[in-house]
Amino acid sequence: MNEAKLIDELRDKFGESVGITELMGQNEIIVTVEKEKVVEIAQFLKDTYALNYVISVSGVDYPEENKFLVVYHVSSMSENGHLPLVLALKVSVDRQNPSTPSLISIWRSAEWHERETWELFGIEFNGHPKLERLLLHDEWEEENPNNQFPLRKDFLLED
Amino acid sequence: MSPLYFSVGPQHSGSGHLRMKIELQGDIILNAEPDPGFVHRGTEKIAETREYQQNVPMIERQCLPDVSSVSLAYAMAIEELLGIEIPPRAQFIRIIMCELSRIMSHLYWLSIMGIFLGHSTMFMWPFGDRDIFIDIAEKITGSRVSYTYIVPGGIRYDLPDKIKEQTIKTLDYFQGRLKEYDAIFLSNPIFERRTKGVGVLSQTDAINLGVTGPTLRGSGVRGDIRKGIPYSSYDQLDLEIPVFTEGDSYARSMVRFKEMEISSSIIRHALDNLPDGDFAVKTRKKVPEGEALSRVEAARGELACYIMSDGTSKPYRLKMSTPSFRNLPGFSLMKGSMLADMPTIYWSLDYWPPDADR
Repeated sequence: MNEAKLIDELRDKFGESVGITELMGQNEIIVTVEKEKVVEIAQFLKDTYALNYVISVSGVDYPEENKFLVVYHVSSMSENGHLPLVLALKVSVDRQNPSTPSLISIWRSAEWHERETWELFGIEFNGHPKLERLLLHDEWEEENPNNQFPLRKDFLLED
Repeated sequence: MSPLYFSVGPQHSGSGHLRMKIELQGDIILNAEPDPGFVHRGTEKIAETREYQQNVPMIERQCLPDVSSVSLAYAMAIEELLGIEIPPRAQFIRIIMCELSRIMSHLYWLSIMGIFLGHSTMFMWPFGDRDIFIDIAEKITGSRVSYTYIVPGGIRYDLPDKIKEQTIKTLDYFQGRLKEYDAIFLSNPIFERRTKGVGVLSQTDAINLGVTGPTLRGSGVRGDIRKGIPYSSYDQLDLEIPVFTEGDSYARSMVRFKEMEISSSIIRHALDNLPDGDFAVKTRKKVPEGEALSRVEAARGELACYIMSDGTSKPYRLKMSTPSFRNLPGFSLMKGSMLADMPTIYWSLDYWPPDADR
């Protein structure tokens, strides 16, 4: 697969809503997109470049820039196994009102990853059918009234 | 008759603390949902407060039967950020450790599969044989279970004297034992009847649900990172990928069984071709700003480690996307099965709760 072609085509088709794209290492492309366009772009990547297999979904907190990043690492899987290309699709989410469309209608394999990110970062995934407690215990909210989201940077660990 | 709702777990059922919420009609499972998190320790958060090197012993404890793969994924991500090349000798020793880990992990799995089917000999044999591999690991690393041996930059010590002889002797014995396992258990009609056609996962579903490892390869997908995207010199070794197309508990079990044989020959091959030279390179405490994703084929499947660095000596964000977590959708295979088939479906996924909960 031609990585440069993928980037060109994304820029042609989606213009401004595709932000920084860069090549990392041999097989990794980073694409930053606006959340309004993320569903459309994800669908395009799946249909055109067979990116059908989610490796991980990670939240990253940037309190100084008042944003979260949600990073979808997606790759291609077929009967013959893995293809080397990994695309990191980054969605920037406002920290005050964190929500972004869920991508599980396109990538079903993102379901549990999004649920985890919802729980640990407090990012709402609109359209996700089951945003419920996953790793933390049921009393977590009562025990941590001030900050419920452990992976946010302002959640401090006690010594 | 209205359905019966009940929990299985979170008591230790042979594999750690997981609860399954089961909805049962008569003898048929209407719905089965995993409820993980009982052993969540927040390692990703704690990792942000410690230096890169300090994290190794903590991170690898997420999957005690298979610590080498975890520390390898973590080390590889850091090495990518540092832009350092690992000496060939260290790469080969890493392979040897990972394949030893894979064998030990699969032996553990086989034991529990035995006890889940009421076959107590199959519980005893692999557990006993696992110990002679633990002895090798102890000789190499100084520890029996959690080694902290694969570290950023290489490995901690070179191989000790006479380890090759001991390993070959062990493998000779072990490969003979595999035939006995096959005769007493894997080819046993009772095992076949309890697992064939049970918990079938189609090829399309396997890819769409994002499952990984033997669960994927049991559904007819040739998905193995060691072959697809070779790392740490795996491309220099002969590597056969067992694939079964049935997608049932039997297929997933046979993938693991065949892998033990293949891992044994990889270890032999690596020992015969072990390069000379250094076993580690110097690393820096501070890791340059940037991000890296490493992918490793652990015993349970693909383990991806994503590190975001802000240029300090501690990770800004560490994410471990673990095989057990990614195999969670596999629990839906229990729907429509008999309750008595639940243990074999559950264990055919080789789900390891701390690996999923982190």
